[in-house]
Amino acid sequence: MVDNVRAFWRKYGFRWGDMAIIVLVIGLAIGSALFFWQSKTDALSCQISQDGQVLYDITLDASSQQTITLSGDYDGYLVENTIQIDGESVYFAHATCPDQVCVHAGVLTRGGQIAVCLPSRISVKLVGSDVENQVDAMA
Amino acid sequence: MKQGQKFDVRYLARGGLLIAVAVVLSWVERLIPLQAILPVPGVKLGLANLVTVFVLCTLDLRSALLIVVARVVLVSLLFGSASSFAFSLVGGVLAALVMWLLLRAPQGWFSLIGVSVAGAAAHHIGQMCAAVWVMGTIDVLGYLPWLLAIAVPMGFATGVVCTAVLPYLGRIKG
Repeated sequence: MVDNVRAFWRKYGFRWGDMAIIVLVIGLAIGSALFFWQSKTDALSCQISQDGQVLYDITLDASSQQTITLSGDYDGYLVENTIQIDGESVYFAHATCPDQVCVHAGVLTRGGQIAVCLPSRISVKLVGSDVENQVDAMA
Repeated sequence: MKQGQKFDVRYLARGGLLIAVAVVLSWVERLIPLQAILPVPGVKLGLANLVTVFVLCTLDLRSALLIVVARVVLVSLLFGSASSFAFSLVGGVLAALVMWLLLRAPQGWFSLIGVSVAGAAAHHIGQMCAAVWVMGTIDVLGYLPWLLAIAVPMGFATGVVCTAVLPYLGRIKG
């Protein structure tokens, strides 16, 4: 088994530089995760934007219930997205675009999580309440 | 093609062949529903990267960039959209540049596995930059950790395939 692995490395010429690249990429992944993902917080708000403009900024609590329907132009086709706010979570309930990436993204429950629909350029983001405080503290 | 050479039919034929291979690989890639398993926009196997690595190894940077641009234009026209064109173009060009730089490193530093992992990561970073520009928000960068994590096994696999295939493809003398 070990010999097989060694033979594989010899054959495909794995170098230490490759390991360095892999470690660097994984490091970048972890670094960007720490930078962009936030931990679970008590109060969440949901920001829905299209073309970089925030259309809705809704503070979520356990009793929040709202359905928002937005449409966007996708190379001449009309794409309609239905966003469902359900308590302290939000998800794309339905989309008429071909790729369905936003629907597959599932239910967002933590601050920093996002779901985007590229065809209609809609993004849904959860923001934890203590993030603003952190930013203020840094500024 | 060497400078000053007028019109090299072999170069043209080989370029056309490589573009065709790249387009077919991109198409095959789209048949695999990777996004249903991992709901991150832009997730793909990176099979078309094989062609870029091969061209960088056997021809030059200029040819590689030409083939990347031709492939992206054709794939977007055939199956894609305007935004997927921007993502693939920025990603593909950045991947080609990064892999070209790594291939110029002294021999023995990196194998094709490392080069193609770096290429896959560069492709995703380029794609994310284009997404930030198209979407007009940096929120989409939340997907970057996933994409980078996926780049490692995908780049590894394409690197192994490329190492295995390169000697045979190299026999096609241009």
